[in-house]
Amino acid sequence: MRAVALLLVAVTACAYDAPWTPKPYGPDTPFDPGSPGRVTINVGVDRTPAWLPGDSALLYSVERTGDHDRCLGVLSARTWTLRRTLCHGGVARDSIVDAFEWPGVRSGSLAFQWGQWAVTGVRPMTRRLMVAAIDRWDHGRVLLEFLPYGAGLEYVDGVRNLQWLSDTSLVYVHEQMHVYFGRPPDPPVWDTVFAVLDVERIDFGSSVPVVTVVPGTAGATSLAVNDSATAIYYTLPGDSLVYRLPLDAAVASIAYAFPGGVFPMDVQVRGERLVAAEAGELHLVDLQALTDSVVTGPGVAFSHPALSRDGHLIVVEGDAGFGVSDLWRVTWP
Amino acid sequence: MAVRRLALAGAALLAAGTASGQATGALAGRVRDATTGKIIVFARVSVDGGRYGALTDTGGAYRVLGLASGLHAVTVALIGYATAGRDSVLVAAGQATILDFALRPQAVPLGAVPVVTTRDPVLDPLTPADIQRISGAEIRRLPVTTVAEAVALSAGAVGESYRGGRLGEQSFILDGLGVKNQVDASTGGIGIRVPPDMLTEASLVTNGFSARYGQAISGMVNVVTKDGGSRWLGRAAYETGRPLPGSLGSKLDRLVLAADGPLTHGIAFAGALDADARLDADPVNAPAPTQALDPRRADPYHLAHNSGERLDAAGKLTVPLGKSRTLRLFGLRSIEQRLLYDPPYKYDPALMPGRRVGATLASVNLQHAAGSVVSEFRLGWFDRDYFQGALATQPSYRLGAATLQSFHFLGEDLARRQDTLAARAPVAGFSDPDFSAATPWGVPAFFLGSGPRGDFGWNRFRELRGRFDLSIGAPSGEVGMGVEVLRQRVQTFQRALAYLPTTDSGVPPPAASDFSPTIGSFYLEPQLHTPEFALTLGLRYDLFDPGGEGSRARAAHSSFSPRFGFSTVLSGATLVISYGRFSQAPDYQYLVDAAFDDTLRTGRFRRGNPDLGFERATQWEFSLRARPSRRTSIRVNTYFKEMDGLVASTPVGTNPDSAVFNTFDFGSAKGLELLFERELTEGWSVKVSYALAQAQATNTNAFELFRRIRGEPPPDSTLPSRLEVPLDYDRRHALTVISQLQVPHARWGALVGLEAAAILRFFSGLPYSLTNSAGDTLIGLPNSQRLPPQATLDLLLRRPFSLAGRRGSVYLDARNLLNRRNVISVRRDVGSPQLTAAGIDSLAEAAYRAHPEPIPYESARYRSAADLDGDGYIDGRAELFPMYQAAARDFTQPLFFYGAPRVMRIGVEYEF
Repeated sequence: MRAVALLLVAVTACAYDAPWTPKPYGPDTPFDPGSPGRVTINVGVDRTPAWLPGDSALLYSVERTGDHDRCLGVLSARTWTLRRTLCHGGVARDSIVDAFEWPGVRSGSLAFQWGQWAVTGVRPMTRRLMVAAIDRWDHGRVLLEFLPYGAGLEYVDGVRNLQWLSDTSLVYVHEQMHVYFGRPPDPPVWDTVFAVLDVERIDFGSSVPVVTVVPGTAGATSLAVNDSATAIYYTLPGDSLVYRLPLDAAVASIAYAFPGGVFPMDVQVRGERLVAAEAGELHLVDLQALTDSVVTGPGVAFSHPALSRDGHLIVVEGDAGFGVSDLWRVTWP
Repeated sequence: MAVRRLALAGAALLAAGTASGQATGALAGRVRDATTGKIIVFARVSVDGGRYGALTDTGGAYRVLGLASGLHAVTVALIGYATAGRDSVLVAAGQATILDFALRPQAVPLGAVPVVTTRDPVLDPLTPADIQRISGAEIRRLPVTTVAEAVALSAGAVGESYRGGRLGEQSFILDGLGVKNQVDASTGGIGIRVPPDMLTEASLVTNGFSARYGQAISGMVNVVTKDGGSRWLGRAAYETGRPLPGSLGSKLDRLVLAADGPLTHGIAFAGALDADARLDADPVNAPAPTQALDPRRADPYHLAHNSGERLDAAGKLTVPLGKSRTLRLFGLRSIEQRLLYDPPYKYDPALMPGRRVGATLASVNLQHAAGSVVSEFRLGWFDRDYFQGALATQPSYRLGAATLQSFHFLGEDLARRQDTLAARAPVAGFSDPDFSAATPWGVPAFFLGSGPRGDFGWNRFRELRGRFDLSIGAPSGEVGMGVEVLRQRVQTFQRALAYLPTTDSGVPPPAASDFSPTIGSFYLEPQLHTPEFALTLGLRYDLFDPGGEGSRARAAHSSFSPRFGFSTVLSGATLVISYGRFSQAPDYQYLVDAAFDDTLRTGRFRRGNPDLGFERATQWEFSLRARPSRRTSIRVNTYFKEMDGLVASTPVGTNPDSAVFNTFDFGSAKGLELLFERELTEGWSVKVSYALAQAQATNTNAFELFRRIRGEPPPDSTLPSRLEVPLDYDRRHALTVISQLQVPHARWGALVGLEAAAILRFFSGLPYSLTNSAGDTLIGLPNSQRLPPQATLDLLLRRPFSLAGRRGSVYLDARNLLNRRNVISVRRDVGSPQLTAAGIDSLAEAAYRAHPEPIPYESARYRSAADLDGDGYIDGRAELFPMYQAAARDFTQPLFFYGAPRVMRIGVEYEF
């Protein structure tokens, strides 16, 4: 009887230890904690960062050095390490270079551009605008597909600055990519030139997506959407103004005017904070106080900043001049 | 007394001369006065309401012959005494059941009736079969848990392989009705498990089994379940390893509930529930890793994502229909779910696969006795459902390792719909597996993550089985005959590389099948006996029609199987000579196409062959049985078996990974079995069995490609070899010692009442094949190498107690008590569990060359310890290669190359 009692006591007092589980083995602090501080040192190209809702992490296009695929990397904003990469296939799986770029995230949904090159090719075979659920990102829907055109198939269109307006609509900058082999007087090398067509809106609530051009945005060099997704901000080439266009209005207003000779290229707006890249520098603009602080990269040129939802952190591409950009972090108190 | 009982049994059987083979047995015993102990003559012994009967002779003995195997109701009556009876007396086929009665004078109304039941399986001259039995009570006294474990204690058994045969070559008979997983018996289990508490006895028959039974060529597992008793009895037990320290304790919770008793109108019920959940469903006894960062180092036995849970519930109703008929309704539901540890996913366990097997068995048995004719009608329904693949969501534990929820799998709906069209696209939920970034070593090598393996498989097997048996008794023999018809339905589905479309090269198409085979059989078994000998002749006819329609129609096959048994007594020993030809329909998995995946993404394809016929075997056996003393017995069996028509694989075209099945294989098995037993008396018993065997065939198993065999002369890489090589379960020497000890009440002080049971096993090693380092070419002949010998010692200690007037006990069950590290498998490229240091370096070198790219700081692969110069990159050979070496060492750990470690559990049981 005592044995039974002892057994019952022992059983109720004991719980199983779970078997061993893997631990996190990577770093949990940024490589360079300063501001500006470099947060990726990948030997490949890191570009087009975009914040996830909640500012806990970023998505960006990261070049996989094994096969030069450009995957979407999920960079933790806490540890500044890659938590996950979303790639098309494993390393060395095929003869296609896949490039995921310009991610845009909205509560569980992901939009991005998917370009494909032959390993030996210089022009993309295709570029697609994709949308997908984040947890099933590899089973996305092709909203637009751009194929090479022109006499020598040297042109391919694409999208950039993807921004969500609603669960079924996006805005983006429609760009044209021109890949050509230089003829005199140009140097006899392959070159790529991007030209911006306009800002477009795509609604894909129905089976056939509907694309509409946002008037007055021809040649827009950048695009941002305000917090409530009711208005867009854009810039134009050779223009020092940042324009604000409510989506239900036909006429844009001026959101901010940089001094003459400053031509902002990439704008982001959160509340009363606006950030823009211009000539490799970052301009941090307080729209309420109308002040502009300039941040210069230590030997790198900044472009394509991504401003966190709370407006206090900027992750931006930094290029030291070799055409291989990394991501940098700039704090904005 | 024992000598007289033995003589009585022998006399009963000889006089009866039923030569019953397997179909019938006998009942014999003695009737005494319960108060005086004197013998009672002319008492009337009635079986099954008077269908059979006898009077006690002048010695008080009685004999009732020609009883069908199974349970019988027995009553004893005599004027002046209270009628005594026993409801469920088991009469085993080919044996005499000894049942003594003590009658109380009529003046004492319905007093207790002591009944003694025992059997003598040894000196039974009329049994041509090798039968090794174990009762439900014995299973509880031994350190075994399941019926399968108990049957595996038999001589000649290697797990569920018998006498060297392949898995699935056995037949499972439950209460006289066969049950078989005909889809993939050779690679999967039957799916049902009878709770030991429902068991009257289980036995293994390895030759000479009656012509009643077929669909087996290596053995027959016969299970008899119990009927509900005349008063309610029950048992509750709980086992766990929780209180045991460290790795000693099995991470198990097992609950057993069983009860049986009368309901109403003579209807009796018996039911049992046996459920367990274990966090360490497959603990490993591999050496602890040496690398400090290896998480397994802290708890080497237990693996992540390796739990399992089982539920077995059975119920049986026994319904008397008048005096001559009894209806038995039986139902059994078994569910087993396993999380499967997959070594490449060691650091991403959420991507490891799972498996679920559920099976249901329902049967009806109607027995009718009229005069000397006994007829039995049985109807059975069996439904087995199997799924293995990546889990849609990881289950969470609720109680111990019990999830109490059904697993769901990626692609499950697709598979159940058998939608091969939709399955050509990448299957939802799957994504490309890639090298894991979650390892301590960081480098992209060996370990996988990102996505689960892309293969999943489902099959469902349903069977409606009906059989009718007729037994006609005669003074000098008996004739048995019967017919059985099975209608089955088979559905299968497999998809490999499910994260890729099947339009990609190297991706096999989804494979599905849906067909309805029919199996029929008829047997005739006359038996002749004289006082000097017994002769059993049997002829069985089997028909197998796989079914199919139109172009997929499959040919029907038939087979005649003669059986013969002769037994006689020579100088106090029983000599038995038996011959039998056996046939079984092949696993249906060999009839259908299948797609495989492998880690190299080559995508293998296996073509089914719908025209496969019966696999066959012919066996001769000589058996000698004797009792050197009244407590001991010896049995010697020697056998020779020829097998032909065994399923084998032959290549298709030039694809080295694709094959088609054929029945080209043939082989032979021969062996000697010695069994010595001392019965449990004076507090101890011992049972020793030794088996010497050799089992060979031209292919080691159904999946081994013929062309990889290099026979001599001349070497030929394309045509099947005629050379016989050891079968996978060709175990040459096997020694098993089972001993029980009960400390008598009169001595030993605190140890009084203690019970101990030990099982010692010593086996020679199984064969294996040596290959080149790539694993695609054999070195030498198949299975030309041998694993080292194995030994285990299991122990069960039990201390009874009494609580509220009821019995109970506390027990400790220890498996592999000495924690011997038995090698059960080896790497085929080196012949040992562990790869050599040079081999590890070679793997590391290849992995490094494939991915010499630097690892930047922000990468999840970055490990600061490897960044020797602290520049934020792990780059260059000096920094990268050691990590590849560490990963290779980790990956090549021989986890599943060793048998189970020492695990213990304690339990408490209470009878009510």
